[in-house]
Amino acid sequence: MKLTFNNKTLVKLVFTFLILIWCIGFVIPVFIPQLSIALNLVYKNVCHQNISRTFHINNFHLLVCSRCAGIYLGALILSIVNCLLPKIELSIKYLFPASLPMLIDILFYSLKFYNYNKSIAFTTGFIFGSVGFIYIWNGFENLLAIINKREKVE
Amino acid sequence: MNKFLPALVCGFAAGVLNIVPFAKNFMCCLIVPAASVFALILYQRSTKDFGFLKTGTSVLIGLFTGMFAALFGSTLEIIIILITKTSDLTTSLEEMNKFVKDLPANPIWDEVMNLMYKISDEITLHGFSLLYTISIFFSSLIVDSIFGMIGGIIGMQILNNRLKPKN
Repeated sequence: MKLTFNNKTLVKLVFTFLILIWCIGFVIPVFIPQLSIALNLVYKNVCHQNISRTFHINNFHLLVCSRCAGIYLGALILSIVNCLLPKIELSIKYLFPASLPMLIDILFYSLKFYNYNKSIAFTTGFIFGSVGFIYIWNGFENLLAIINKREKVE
Repeated sequence: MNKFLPALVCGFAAGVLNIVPFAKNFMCCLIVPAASVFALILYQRSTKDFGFLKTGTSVLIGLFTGMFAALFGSTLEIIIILITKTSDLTTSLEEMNKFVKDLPANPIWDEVMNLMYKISDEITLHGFSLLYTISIFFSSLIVDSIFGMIGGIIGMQILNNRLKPKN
């Protein structure tokens, strides 16, 4: 089956499903701890996994830090919204303001203005992740449009 | 070559930063996407073409950056394991063992734990485990490639936005 814009909703759903699997992957060791060693190999590539900076549920920690968890969950929520709405467009100039709270948080706790706070890290990551998703999706849409154009020419 | 070289340079930088704990604390999951954005900037400079970037080119450069980051990152990690004779697996195995003991016995988990202990012993004794090396390499190759492509897409939009006429 060719990925065309006629089944754009399907592509959106697949995209959301993939993000959902990624999010389940870092939460699932809380429920099935035996999987944590294997999954750790995947998530250690994308996160420092500092235990003091990760959320703990039932004495088990997530496989990514609170900031990364915020980024991925933000992307997941926006991808669900993206499935419900026909199109979300946002100028790229909003990416910097969206990343600003996160950058300020990193700067402030690094300069010891305050201690690392999981809730702040999660919230700032969530804002960045949700806005960042829009640009990733728009870029992906462009890529699909180019592929479809080529197929039509051929 | 124009696509390879910026990806190689930025992929190497990302690979090094990925194993430096201090740097990783700062950037976390943004190292590889950021490296892809820098690779696109380098690509534009090397070709001296500051026009609109194509999506395919950006994704390709992002993919190469991610692949090089995975290659260098995993190689450096393997070297560190070889020198220190310890890894994340060795440290987390003890914690895992405590938990597994409290669970009802299951032959599958026992086999998995035995395999993990075998790998851990190999690392402690020789500083090298083929299975662990392969798993590190492939997991980072897949994850970094995806994150590299995401960085390529975001980078393209940032760089193309500079060319759009302002109202």
